[in-house]
Amino acid sequence: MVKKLKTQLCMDKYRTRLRTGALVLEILAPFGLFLGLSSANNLLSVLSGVLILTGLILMAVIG
Amino acid sequence: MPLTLLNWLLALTPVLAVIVLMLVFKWGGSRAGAVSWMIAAGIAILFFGAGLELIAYAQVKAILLSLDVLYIIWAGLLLFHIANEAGAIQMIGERLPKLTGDRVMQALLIGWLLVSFLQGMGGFGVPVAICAPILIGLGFGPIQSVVMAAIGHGWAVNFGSLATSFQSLMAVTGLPGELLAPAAALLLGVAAFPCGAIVAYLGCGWKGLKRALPAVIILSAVMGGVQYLLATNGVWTLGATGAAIAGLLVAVFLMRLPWFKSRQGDALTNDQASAEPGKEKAKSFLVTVSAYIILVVLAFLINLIPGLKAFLSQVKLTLQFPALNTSSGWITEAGTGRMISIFGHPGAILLYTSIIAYLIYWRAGYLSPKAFGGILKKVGRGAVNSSLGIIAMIGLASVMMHSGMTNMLARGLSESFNQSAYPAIAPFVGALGAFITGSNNSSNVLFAVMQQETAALLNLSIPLILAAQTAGGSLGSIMSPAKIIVGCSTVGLSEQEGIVMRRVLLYGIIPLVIVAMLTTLLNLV
Repeated sequence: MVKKLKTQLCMDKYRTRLRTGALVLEILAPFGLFLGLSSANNLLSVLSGVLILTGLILMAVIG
Repeated sequence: MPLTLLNWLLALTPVLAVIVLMLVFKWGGSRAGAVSWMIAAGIAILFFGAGLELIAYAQVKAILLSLDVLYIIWAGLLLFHIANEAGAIQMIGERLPKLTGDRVMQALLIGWLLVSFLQGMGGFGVPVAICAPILIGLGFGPIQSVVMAAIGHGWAVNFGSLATSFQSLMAVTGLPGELLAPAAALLLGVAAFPCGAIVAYLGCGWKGLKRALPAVIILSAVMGGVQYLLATNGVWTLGATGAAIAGLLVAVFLMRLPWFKSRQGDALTNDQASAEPGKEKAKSFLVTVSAYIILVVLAFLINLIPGLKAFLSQVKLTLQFPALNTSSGWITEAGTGRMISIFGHPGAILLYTSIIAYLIYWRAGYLSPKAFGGILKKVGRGAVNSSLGIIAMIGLASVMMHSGMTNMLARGLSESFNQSAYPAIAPFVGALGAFITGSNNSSNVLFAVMQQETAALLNLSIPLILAAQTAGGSLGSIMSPAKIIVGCSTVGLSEQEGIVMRRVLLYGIIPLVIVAMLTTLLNLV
């Protein structure tokens, strides 16, 4: 029982961290995307796009 | 892109996905929003001819819109937790039962009048986030509290938030406020009655509604009348605020009548019963609720003194976007994205209020020196999940808008109905826009011109159809997932938004149907 609770607490802790990570990605990456698109920097655009998608996948998976 | 049933159903799929995932699968807003965003992007690329660049720019525009909203939410949560830590929410919850022992009047006071007043000052779910915990403090259930506060302010959204939605309606249609205000104020004034009646019913059942009916009729007549007078005399920015203040004053008078004053029967809540009278007496009521007094004063000062507003609005964050088009011919003109005034934004007003209130509480000894860290932690905990949900929902709306899917939905609705049926449909188009975007303002930006053109084509009264659009947007915005997520954020219902949304949809449709019927009737007159 105690072990179960500890696992739950640990999962909640990581879930909060992952959510915060997803939020940071979702807020900052679009600005990178805008910079990449407006300066025709493909690497920056693709990287930012991947980060936005990563954030969305995190949201879809962890809720 | 031609309007066919298949195309229309494809455009509807992301909206249906949100509804099904939240209502049937009971997913939270962020998860449902993220999955629906992916569905919308897939449909936009595969069927609506959107390119990756269009989706990318749509997401950048969405983040600007999201930041505009999140600024208010984060600052609103900060103010709420500062006031809560200082005991303001508990004190309001304890003082209100002393005005009246009648629970239905308590429900109306907070879940209808106070929430509408706060909508006049701010918006985007924050009034619900502030009032729902007060209702819980009065002994109402968490889901019941959020639903009551959500329904209670539906009538006040259009002329609330200093009438930003109404300003957008004027801006996009090019019509003067003097022409648009009468019909809009009439429809929303009438909508105040079902909103109040539903709050009374949700709070205390049929018996409560029956007892409160005279008060609901009087208060809706006062608020509807004051809003109409203010809006039709050019003071639409204070339409909802002025109406709610008048409503609160009349309610205080009504509560002194024996009919409501003598009803002391309902038990006090655990919180109230366990409150230590001696301890609370040491706190001044005025100082404790000063956070909200400062908010009202600052909001009025900054919005009504043009020089001050212009001074604070000098620093703005915005980005310039190119014209975007899909291969199927839907074009979004080039232009700036959402402009965020860093120091003159409603979020900034909430932030100034938070700082001043914190200093006042700290000086008065209502906050411990270590309280700041705890407050920030609570804000973070409440804000992260709501913020993710809002970003996902606005992203979804932006993809749909830029790929022509939103327009397809509206065209499908408007072209399927004739001259006599369209007035009943117009409020639902406004409500649909507000449901998708979470904003009456955005619904007007999306659909007002289409409604104006449809009204002209069908030879209908343009001000009436536009009033129905914005009234529908006002009443539809309370049902939107984005607003419900914010409303749930302060009452620990972050995982149960689906259940709340189901109940809000169930009751929220009633004022909308009444507005649709009234629009049809006014069209015949």
